[in-house]
Amino acid sequence: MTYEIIKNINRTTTLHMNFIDENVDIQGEINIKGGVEDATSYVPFFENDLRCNFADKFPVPEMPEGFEEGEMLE
Amino acid sequence: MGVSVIPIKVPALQAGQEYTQDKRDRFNVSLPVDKVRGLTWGDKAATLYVEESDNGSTWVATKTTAIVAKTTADTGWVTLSKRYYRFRIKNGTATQGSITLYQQIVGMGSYLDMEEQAGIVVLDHGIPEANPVPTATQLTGSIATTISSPETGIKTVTATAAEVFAGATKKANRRKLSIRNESTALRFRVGKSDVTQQNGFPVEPGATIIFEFDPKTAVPIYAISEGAALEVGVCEE
Repeated sequence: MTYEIIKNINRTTTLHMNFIDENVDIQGEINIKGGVEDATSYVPFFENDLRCNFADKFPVPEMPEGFEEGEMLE
Repeated sequence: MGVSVIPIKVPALQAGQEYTQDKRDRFNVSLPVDKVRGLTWGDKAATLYVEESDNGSTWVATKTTAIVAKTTADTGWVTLSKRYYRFRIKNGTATQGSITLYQQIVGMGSYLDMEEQAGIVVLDHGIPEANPVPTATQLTGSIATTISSPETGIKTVTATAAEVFAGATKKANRRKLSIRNESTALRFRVGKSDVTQQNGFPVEPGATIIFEFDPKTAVPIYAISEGAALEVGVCEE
């Protein structure tokens, strides 16, 4: 995931986020009240929301080799 | 015998000008029209005609009635014999300041109900060429119906005010935004970009707030949690 923060003149910032580095075609954009620090603090939440709302676009994590169903990962 | 009365919009006529009603197919309603009658009033002299036609293009005056200035003219009941009929007003030598025409109809055996009357009124485009033609109006932008698939999703509302939408970005031309507070304990507040934990509109746990928009105007809605981060369910239409 990569993101970019742009400061606006109306005391808001715009957070652009994309997942091109993961070969996932999702580009999000959200306006946040406050400055760059506020936007930075919101990054993990926005990322989590996008991963959740567009879960079908992200590749399913591969099962570790030798791991069987019902077995706990250590 | 019931009588249906239909007001006909007649433009103010210039000297010598004519108003000709669109042809009416007397069988184009569930109950065929048997008799018609015209009542008109004008502040200048004119002539009122009830005309009939077999083919809708060649017309014969079945009844001719003089309109005396500032006096109601009445054609009396005219029993129709041809398929099409219409009213026509030929103005005299003075410009009308005001003229009005009411059409009365008697159906064969009964009267036309309100729905049939409405249908007839809608079909009336009887404005003469010399006068402005009514402009067709198409209604768009109703918020009463959904015309595109809704965007749905969850959004995390934190103590930093941020926009609320369902997808990756705010839905273009959205008409409606519904936000449900999924928290069982925390409130959040909504408002414009300067919303705070004090001035925003509170949304209680489990409550839903709905905004309706003019699709042509993009209106951002911001939300801020009163405490820890919480999840909201969002639907944009």
